[in-house]
Amino acid sequence: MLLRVDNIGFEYPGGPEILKEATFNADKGEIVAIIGPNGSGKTTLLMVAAGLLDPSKGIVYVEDKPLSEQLPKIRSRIGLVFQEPDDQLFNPTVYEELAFALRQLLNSVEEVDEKVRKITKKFDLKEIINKPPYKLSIGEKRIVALASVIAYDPDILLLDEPTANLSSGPIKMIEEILQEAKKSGKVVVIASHDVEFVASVSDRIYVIDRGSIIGGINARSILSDDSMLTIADMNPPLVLQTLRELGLESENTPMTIRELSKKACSEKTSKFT
Amino acid sequence: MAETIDSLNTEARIPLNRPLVTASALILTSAVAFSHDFEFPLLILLLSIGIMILTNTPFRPWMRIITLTLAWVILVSIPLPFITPGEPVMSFTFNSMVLNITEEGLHIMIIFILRIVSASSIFTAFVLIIGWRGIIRGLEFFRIPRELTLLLKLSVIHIPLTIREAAKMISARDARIMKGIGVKKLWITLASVVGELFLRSYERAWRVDKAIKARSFESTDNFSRF
Repeated sequence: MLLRVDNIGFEYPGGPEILKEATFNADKGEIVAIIGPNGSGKTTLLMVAAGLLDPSKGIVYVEDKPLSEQLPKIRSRIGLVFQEPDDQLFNPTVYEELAFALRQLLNSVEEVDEKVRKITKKFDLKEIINKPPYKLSIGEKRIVALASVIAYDPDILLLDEPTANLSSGPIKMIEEILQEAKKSGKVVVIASHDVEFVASVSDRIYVIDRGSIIGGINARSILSDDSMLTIADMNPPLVLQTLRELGLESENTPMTIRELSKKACSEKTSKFT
Repeated sequence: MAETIDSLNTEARIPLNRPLVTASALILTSAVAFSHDFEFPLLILLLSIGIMILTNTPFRPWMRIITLTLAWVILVSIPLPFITPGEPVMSFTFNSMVLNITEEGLHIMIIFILRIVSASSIFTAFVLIIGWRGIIRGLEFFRIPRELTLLLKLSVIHIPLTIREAAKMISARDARIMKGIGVKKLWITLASVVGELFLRSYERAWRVDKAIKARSFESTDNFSRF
C-alpha cells in the first residue's frame, strides 16, 4: 500500500476528539473517496495524512515507512488541495503560485519556467498567469490550487472538497485530471460531499462519521447502500434514484449518466446483432 | 483602503534594476525618516513627485496612500504640541486642567508630519514604479531572510482580504438592521465585527501556515508551528 492511515486519533488542544481510530488505505492507480457529513473530520483526516497535523495516536505510513520519519522531504511526494483555495494560494501571482514548489525541486530558473509553461498550457491558465490569485473567480482559484499541486507531480494527491461551488466545466476538467493521475499510477484520495462526482471518479469509498471510518469497499456497493448514505448524509446518485423510481434497479445498475448511456448503447447494439 | 493596498501589488512598470531601486528606496526612506529639518523632507517630497512625473506613473494610488498617511500621522502627532515643554503660544482650560500648546511642540509636530509623509511618498513612488513584487525581489537579492520576504508577500495579499472580509461582515450586519436601533446598539453590533475578525484572521493564518508547510520540502519549523 502506498498510503496507509492506521488507527489515527486526533484532537485539537482542549477540543473534542475529531478522529477516533480512523483507518484507511489507498494504493497506486486508485481513486479513493472519503464521504461524510459536515464536521465529521474529513479535512482533519486529510491534513493528518499529509503530515500537516500530528496524530495523538496511530501512524500514517507511506510505502510502509512512518510518514513522520520521512518529513519534510516526503512532502514533495504528497499534494494536498485545500478546501478553501483562498487559504492555499498565498503567492502574489498565479505564476509564483505554480513556481513555489518547483523552485525547491528544480535546479535552474529555466527548468522552473519550462515546467510552469507546461502546467499553464495544460490547465489553460495563460490569461490569468500574471494575476494575483485572490482576484480570480472561485472556479479559477480552485483550478489554480489544483495546478499548483499537480505542478510538482506528487505520487499521492489529497483533495478536500474539490468540486465545492464549481460549475460543470471545471468539474469535468478535475475529473479528467484525476483519471489521468489514476492512469499514471498515482494515489488519489478525495474528501467530498458531492455524490455525483464521487460516483463518477472513485474506485472505493470510505464513510467517515464523527471521526470513525467504515466501508472501504467498492464505490458501487457503498452508493447503493442506503444505510451508508444515511450515515454520510447524502442521497444516492440521481441516475440510481431515477432507475429505482422506475423499478429498474439491478445488480449492475448504472450510477452515472456515462454508465447509463454506455449500458443503453450496448443494449441497443445487442438488439441489432 | 483595500483598493489602495491592492494598487501596490503590481509588476514593474519600467524595467529598472530591482536591487538598485530597492536599495535607493530604503536609503532615501530611512534618511528622510530620521532627518531633523524642514528642507530635506521637503526636497524628498518634491523628488518623489518628480520621479512620478518622469516615469509617467498614475498619481491616484500615490495620492490615496499619502492622504491615508497624512490622516494617520496627524492623529498620532496631536499630543506633541501639548506634551513638549517650551514657550506657550495658546492655552486651554479643560475642567480644572490647563493645556498649553508650545511653539517647540508645534515645530516638532510639523517636522514629524513632514518626515513621515515624505518617507511614505518616496517609498510609495518607488513601489508604484517597480511594484511591491519588485521590491520583494530586490530584498531577496540582498539575502534578506526568506521568512521576512514571505511575510511581506503575505501582507500585501491578506491585508486587503481582511479589510474586505470586515466590510462584508459589516454589510451582513447592516442588512439585518430593520429599524433604528440607536447609536449605542449600532456600535455594539459593529464592535462584534472586531472580535470575529480576529478569530477569522487567526484561523486563516493557521490554514495559510499549513498550506505553506504542505508545499515546503525543507524544514519550515521557524515559521510553521501548530
